[in-house]
Parts: sequence; C-alpha cells; structure tokens
Amino acid sequence: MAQEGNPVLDAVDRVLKDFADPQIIIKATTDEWNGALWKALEELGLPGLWTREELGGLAMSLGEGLNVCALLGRHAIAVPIAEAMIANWVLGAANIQAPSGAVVTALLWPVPQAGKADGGVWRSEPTLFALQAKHIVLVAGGSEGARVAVVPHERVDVQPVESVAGEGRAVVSVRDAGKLEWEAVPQLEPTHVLLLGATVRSLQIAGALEAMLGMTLEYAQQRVAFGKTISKFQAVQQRMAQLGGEVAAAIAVSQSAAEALASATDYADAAVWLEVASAKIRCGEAAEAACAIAHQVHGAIGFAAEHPLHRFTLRALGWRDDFGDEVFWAKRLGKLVTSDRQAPLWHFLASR
Amino acid sequence: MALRFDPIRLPAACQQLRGEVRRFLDQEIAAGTFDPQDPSVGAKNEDAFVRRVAEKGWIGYTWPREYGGRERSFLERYVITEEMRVVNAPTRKFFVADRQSGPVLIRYGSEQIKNSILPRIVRGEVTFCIGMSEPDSGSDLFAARARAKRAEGGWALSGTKIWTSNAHFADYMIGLFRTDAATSENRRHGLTSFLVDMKSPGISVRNIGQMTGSKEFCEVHFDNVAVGDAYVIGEVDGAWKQATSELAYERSGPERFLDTYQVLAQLVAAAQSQSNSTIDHGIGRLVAQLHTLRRMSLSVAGMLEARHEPVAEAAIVKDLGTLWEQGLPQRARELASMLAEETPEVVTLRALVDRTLRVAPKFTIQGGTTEILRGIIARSMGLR
Repeated sequence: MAQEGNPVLDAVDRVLKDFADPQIIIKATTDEWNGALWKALEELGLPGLWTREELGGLAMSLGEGLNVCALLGRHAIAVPIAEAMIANWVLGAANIQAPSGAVVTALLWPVPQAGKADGGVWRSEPTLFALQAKHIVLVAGGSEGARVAVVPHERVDVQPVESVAGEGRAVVSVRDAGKLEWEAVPQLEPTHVLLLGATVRSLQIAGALEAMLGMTLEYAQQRVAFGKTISKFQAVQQRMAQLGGEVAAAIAVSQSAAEALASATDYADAAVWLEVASAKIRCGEAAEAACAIAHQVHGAIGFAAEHPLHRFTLRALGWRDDFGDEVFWAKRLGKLVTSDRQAPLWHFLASR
Repeated sequence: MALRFDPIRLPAACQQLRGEVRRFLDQEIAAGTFDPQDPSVGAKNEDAFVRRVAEKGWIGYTWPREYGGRERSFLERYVITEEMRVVNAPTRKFFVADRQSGPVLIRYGSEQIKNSILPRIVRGEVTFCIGMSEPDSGSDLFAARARAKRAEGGWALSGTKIWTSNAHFADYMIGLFRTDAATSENRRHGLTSFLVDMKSPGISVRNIGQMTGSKEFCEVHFDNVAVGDAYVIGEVDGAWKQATSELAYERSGPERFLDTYQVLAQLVAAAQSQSNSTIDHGIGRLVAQLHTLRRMSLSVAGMLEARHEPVAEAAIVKDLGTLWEQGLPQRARELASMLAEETPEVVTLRALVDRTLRVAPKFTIQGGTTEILRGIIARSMGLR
C-alpha cells in the first residue's frame, strides 16, 4: 500500500502516470514507449533502490522498496525494473558494483553445488526479460552460501520461452561456468533470492489485481444493458463482491509477507517461509479467480487487443510462474508442516 | 474502492496471553473436561468450564472495569477466542454474551442494566441468545413481525422467533421487536431492541432437531410477555441504526474460519508418517489459505482496535472464511483417499470429516448469508 509522503514513491507514481498510462501502452506498436519508461525510471535511480550509497544506490529499506513493487504491479508495466531491483540487491550483497542498463537475475536451478557442475552447462528456470537484459546476474549454490557472477548477455545462451503475457522470457544457460569469476557470498543463499523474488511477484500480482478491480468497477457502472448499468444487476454485484474478496486476500497476504521479509533477521526462519509461500500461493489463486471475473464483467471489449484489461490480467497470470509457482511453494509449505520435526501446525500459524 | 488490510503483528503481551490460555486449555483437555474432536464430552462439563474461564477473567476481557471487565485490548480477546476455537472448547454458555450481547449493553443499555447484568456475564453466571430470525424473516431482518405493544409500565411482547441458538438454556435474549409500522420512506423504521428475561411468564421454548443430530436451535414463542421500559436497548423504532457497527465485530472474528480447524489438524497428523508430494501440495494450499484468512481477520481486528469501522473488510473476511471452513472437510476427504495406508489416524480423519460435513452447510448461512455479505460488499463499492 502506497505510503503517503514518501518522495521516491511519489516520483515513481508520477513517472508511471506519465509514461505508463494503459492507453499509451496499448497504442505503442514499437518498443519505444518501453525505452522511455525504462529511462525515466532508471533516472530516478530505481534499479539501485536497495543498493548501498557507497555502491551508488538509494539505500532504501527493503520494506519501502517493496512498496514500490506493489505500485509497479498496479501499473502492470512491462519493463524489467523490479527485476533490476532484485538483481542489484543480489549484487549489493556480493559487494559488486551494478552495471548500467537492464539486468536480471538468473537462478541456476536446481542449484548446482560447488565443484559438481564446473565445466558443464548450468541452466536457469525461464527468466522474465532475460532476452532484453544487457547483463545477467548468475546465482548458484556454493559450499558456503551462494556464488554470484555478473556477466554481459553475450556470455550466456538464451533459449526463449514466451510468457503468457507475450513477454520475453528465456532459459539462461552458461557454458564453462567454472571459468567465470564467481564471488562467494557466505551470508546469501540462493533461496534468499527466491524468497525476495516470490514476495516481489506477490506484491506485483496484488497491485495488478487492485488496478483490475478499479477498472472493472468503473466499467460496470458505465456499461448499459437491458436499460440500466450492469452494476445494477445482482448477478454482477455478486461477482464484483467476489472480485473484491480475492483482491483483498492478495493485498493482505502479500503485504504481510513483505513486512515479514523486511523485518526478518534470518531468512531460514520457518515463519518467513510460511509468509512468503502463502503469499505466492494465495496471490496466484487470487489471480486466477480475479482475472476470470474481470474479463467476465468486461465482456467482449476486454478481449479486444486495444483494451488495456489484458495487459493486467495476462501479466498477473504470468507473474505466477516466476520464482516458484503455486505448486512449487505449496509442496514446500506442505512438507514443512507434515515433517515430524515441526511444532503443531496451529502453534506455527499462531506464531505470526 | 480502497481495501485496506495493513499487516498486524500481535504484541508480545498477546503471545504471552496465548501461552497462558493454551496451558489452561491443555489442562482442561487432559482432565477430560472436553475433547477437541468430540463435542459431546464438553457438553456435559460446560458449566464447570465456564466458571473456570470466568475465574481467569477471560469473559468480558475488553469491558470497563466498573462492570467487572479487564479493559484489555481487542487483540488480546482475539487471541483467547482463537485458542478456544481451534480446540473446540465448550464456549457456548458465554460466547454470545462475550462477543455480542455484552458490547451491545455497554453501548446502548441503561446504567441499571449494565450494573446488574454485565458483572454476572463476567462471572459466567448468565447466558444470552439472539432473537433475530422469524418464520418469515431471515436474511430480511426488517420483515420482522414479532410485536412490542405499549403496556402499563412498559411493553408487551408477542410473536415467534426461530432458529435461535441455545434459547432453551439462555437466561436472556436480546431480540428485535416491531414497535411501529415501517414507513414508505424508511422500511427499516419501527424495530426496537429489547432485553428479555427468558424466565418471564408467557415465553415458551421448543427445541428443533438439526441435521447434525443436536438440538441447539429453538423456536421461541412470546405470549404477552411483560418487559419494563428500562429493558429497551437503544432507540425506540431505531434499532436499525444500531445494527451495522456491531456486525463488523461479529463477522470478522476467528470463529468465522476456525470452526472446522480440527479437520486440518487431523489431516496433518494422518499425513505425517506417509506424506507424498501430492499430499504436501494439498496441505500447503490449505495452510496458505488459512494463513491468509488469519492475516485478513487480524488486520480487521487491528482496525477495530483503532476505532475504525471496516464494514466491507469484515464482510469479506466472513465471506471468504466461511466458504473456506465449509470446503475444508471436502478437501480433506479427497486428500485422505490419496494416502496409501488406511492407518488409525486416517480412520479418525474420515469420521471427523463425515461429522464436519453435517455441520458445514450452516457456516455460510448463520450471521449473514454469503449472498447478503456480497450485497454489503457491493454496496461499499458503490454498486447499489
């Protein structure tokens, strides 16, 4: 939820309104708008939001930066700004100066252990914007913490896998990984990147859903059928209330996960996993339900290419796939509570 | 429409209290006062249980000290409620008075009534029921026909209330009676809230059997029941003004999604020795959904504590929460059949699922049906 009076949030909001109005996005037939938006956000220093001042960043707290992610979600923008924030967060942890331009994080997954895959080919999960990024931050497991390397995109192979929103995703693979200059980062685990990424995506989904609710409400109050606005039909009202419930669930659980991550002292804490896993699962479920209702209420117009609705619905659906989908997290969360080392489920839930 | 669900973290004092409540309940379970999976055990011992809860000071925990309360926070009460609910503690002798009737009396009752009745609720001596529904008035509260006519020194009540839980042992009812006809400008006009002593002459109570096999539903008949003027709660003809703000408390509490929690606990117990990734996935989804509901409900509790009136947010919690607790036994039933071995824990789970399926239909009806809740949510969105 946007905090009033935060100058960075206000500035981002202004830029998004100027450069990422849904109609501007829809009218663009080239990538030009994309470049202008990226440039404006880069000029604000957004990629280095979480980077320390010595490394040229804005040194914003994790919590405040996560608020920006919810805002980015509300505009459903298609420039890799959240991705750059995550990549630079990783580089900051590794004490590496961030390169300029678009940069994404490729989690080499399943995480190869040190020594095991050296010389071989390491692959990532499909990574959003890996095709457009100038640099890739590679994260791999190590004997002690994670290993991090930043490479220009020419150094990796990318195999395109289009996202549901039609954006450039790609599997990143690295040959001769052992020959790269890896920085060992003892205090960072690859799972930390996963937790941060999942939280960011949850917030973006919740933001997009909030925007969809607003658009759908407005449409229902304008569209006339059978002699009255469709908002006057109980059947539509009931669907709108359901949409409100799903949006509320996504907001509540993603905000809670953001707060949990921002105040965590140990990312291995089971409570952090409960918060983040729940957010990614429940926001994914909310996206399914909310997108269906938003389209249903809009009817045919929402299906039209020039209508902005699908920019939001398809991105919300697509973001479910990144940093672990619902099934990935549900299996892990379930395993956590069914393992016999775990305290009773209720004690676990009520600790939050 | 701005939906606010700011994250709430329970203060340390709340978690400390939680430990105390949990130890108390563990002792009660160990002593055989009640069984989390078998309500018939607790039903026999609920009088003794309510007294011991009262000795702890946990009834009327948020109420002013002058009426016997502890003036503690709404979040602390929340913790007590959740701990009691997850183990199915036998709370029906005090839950209604603690959650609803007491707060209504504090806000709208006369000093005399507050002084005489509230301390007795706190001591666990009196039980309340709520007289809203009638044979021809359920969700449509303003269709109520039970009458209150002017009589010497007060009022005379006549008519019938139905589906009134626990009226057969309740000491008092707070009921809605018609004191005037609705007007063409305001169909909600003309209803008045009364505090009724259930031992008054002219009241007859008949139990109604439920599909679960239990009989706490009642039909309450009023035949010229005399009620003094001091027993009018709030404004004559203006009960509708009082109803809405209380509903946020009633709708968003943990009892709106934890009623079937034992099914999930037993599912986890059954899976512990023989889980697989399908089961883990199913349980993981349920845990994520429950965690989300708790975050939402706690967020509303935080807003109530801060004296906001989150009417739409509370309705959303009840809508999602009751559907979830209703669906839980269905999901557990499927997952039970995906376990390879029919262990004693699985057998127990299946029996619990079956018992819960018999209760499940009521969750989305009582205290505001799904459809009514969605109407409220839609209204808050400006759609009606």
